Amino acid sequence: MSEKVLKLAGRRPILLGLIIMATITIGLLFSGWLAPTPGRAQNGGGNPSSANENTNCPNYTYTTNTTCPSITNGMSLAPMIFCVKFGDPLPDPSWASNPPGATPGSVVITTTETCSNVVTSATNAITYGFGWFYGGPGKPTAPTPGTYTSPSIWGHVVSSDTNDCPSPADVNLGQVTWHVINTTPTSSSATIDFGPFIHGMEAVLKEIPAGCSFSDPGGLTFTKTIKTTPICCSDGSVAAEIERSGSLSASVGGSCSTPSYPLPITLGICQVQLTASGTISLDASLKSTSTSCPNDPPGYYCLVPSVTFTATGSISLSVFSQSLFFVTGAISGGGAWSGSWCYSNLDDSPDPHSKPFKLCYNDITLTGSYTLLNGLTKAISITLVNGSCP
Amino acid sequence: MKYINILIWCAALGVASNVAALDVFPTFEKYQILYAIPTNTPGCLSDPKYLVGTNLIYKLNGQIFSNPIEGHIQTIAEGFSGNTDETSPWKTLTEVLAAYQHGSPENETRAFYDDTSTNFLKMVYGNDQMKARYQTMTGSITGMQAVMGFDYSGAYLAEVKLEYKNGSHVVMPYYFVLNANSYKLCAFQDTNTSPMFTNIGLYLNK
Repeated sequence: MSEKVLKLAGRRPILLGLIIMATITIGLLFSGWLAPTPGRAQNGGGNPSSANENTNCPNYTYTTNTTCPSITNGMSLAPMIFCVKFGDPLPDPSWASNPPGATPGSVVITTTETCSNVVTSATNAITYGFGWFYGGPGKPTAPTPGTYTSPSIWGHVVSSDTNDCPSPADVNLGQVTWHVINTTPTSSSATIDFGPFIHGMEAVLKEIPAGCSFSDPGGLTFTKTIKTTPICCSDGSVAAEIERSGSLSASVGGSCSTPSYPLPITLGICQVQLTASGTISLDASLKSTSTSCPNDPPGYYCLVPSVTFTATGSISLSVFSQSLFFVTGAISGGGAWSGSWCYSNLDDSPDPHSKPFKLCYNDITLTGSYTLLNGLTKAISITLVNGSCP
Repeated sequence: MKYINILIWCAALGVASNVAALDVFPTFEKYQILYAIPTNTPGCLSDPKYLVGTNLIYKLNGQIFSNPIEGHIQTIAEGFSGNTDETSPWKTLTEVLAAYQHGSPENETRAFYDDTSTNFLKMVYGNDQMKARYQTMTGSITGMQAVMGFDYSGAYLAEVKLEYKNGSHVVMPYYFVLNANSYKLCAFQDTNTSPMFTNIGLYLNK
């Protein structure tokens, strides 16, 4: 505590000097050292009257009027809760937005020379200085992540003139809490299976010719990486920053062929070989960051993949016809999946904002031509699979 | 008229071996035809515009041969002289059959095609493999029979039954264009995707 007082006093050395000098001067006056001698006074008078001679002169009387400072704004510290990254020093609070203050005080000493009735006065200002300190055993150290609480903090007022205005008593300002966090992120992952998209394509292709054999391209999964990092929120509380990421760009396909597809042409049902293939183009990326701080609404994030489906293929004569010169043609069509997967930022649980996936596709058509023995060429336009959009 | 032709044809057949050749051709005429195709014909393409009950009714301007004799195309063996004035599709078709039976030589084939068919002929005769295939295919045709004909896409479409050496047959459309009173075969590229063409063929080949 004495250290604090000295600290305060040290901030006003002139004031302290004045106080010491005033005290010495007053003491000397009272002791008569500095009192003017009658002879000297008379000598300085010029025309002294014998009637006025007084061996007690000069004589002084003193009055003191003390006005102590008045505290106008109490002491309070802020913030009292800290979130600190492990390894960083524990910060201290500081005065709140309205720092403590006090009206100026003073000591007025009035001196009256009773012989001449000459009155003089001297004013000494009195101020309060404010400070605070941790109570014993002092500010803690934080060797490991965790929560630490300080001892009580005491607000201290130091008067510049403790004789006339003693310092007010210390005030308990509360305790500080430090949350020391380890910001090393932790990661986890979750997968999303794109198998249903592939099987959707397979189902469409299988509508083309009966007996079509489909080579399943196999599963395809999207890996969602979830990185969780402890963070400090603006209010000093500890929360987690959750970053989800992942990307997938791929093209997968399956094919389907039938050795004998009945193609109606003018000569009858012509058996042709039809080869169809489907390709899925996948493009999905995710980048989402959220926190669990109290001021951040939990919200949700969505994965909206771009999934398109393209059908291609060709046609050729499988059974030689003695009237059909050749057949050419191509299969075309396609569509896209639309929908999204949404999850809660809070716990990655499915969110109702998800939109169910659906496949919409155009007609899958066979367009081409066939040429008869006599050169007559006829265009072909056959819908192999009717478009659909549920 | 039809019956007179039949009689002439029968007479020609009867004396073919000892009498001088006599070119005989199916009568060429046109009249309104309402041609009904049952929708249950195998492979029948949907054509809602012409659907009446369970039939597709196509209104045609042409002719139908009611029996094989009326539409018979004379062969060389049957006395065809080899040349016609090509004033009817059937006369030109008779030349076509004759060319087929001659092994489809290029000059003879080019003679009954119109000028727009050069690409097809170039494709056929410009490549030995294609030429051989074409000649093999045409050479296997032993006879023809006109089944019906009608105006189609600004020209005339003849549905002709082709008879093959192996005993099989197929009805194939032949597209004829009229050039200066002469019907020429045309390697027409029909981009019309209307089902009528296919449905008529499917019905005739069922």
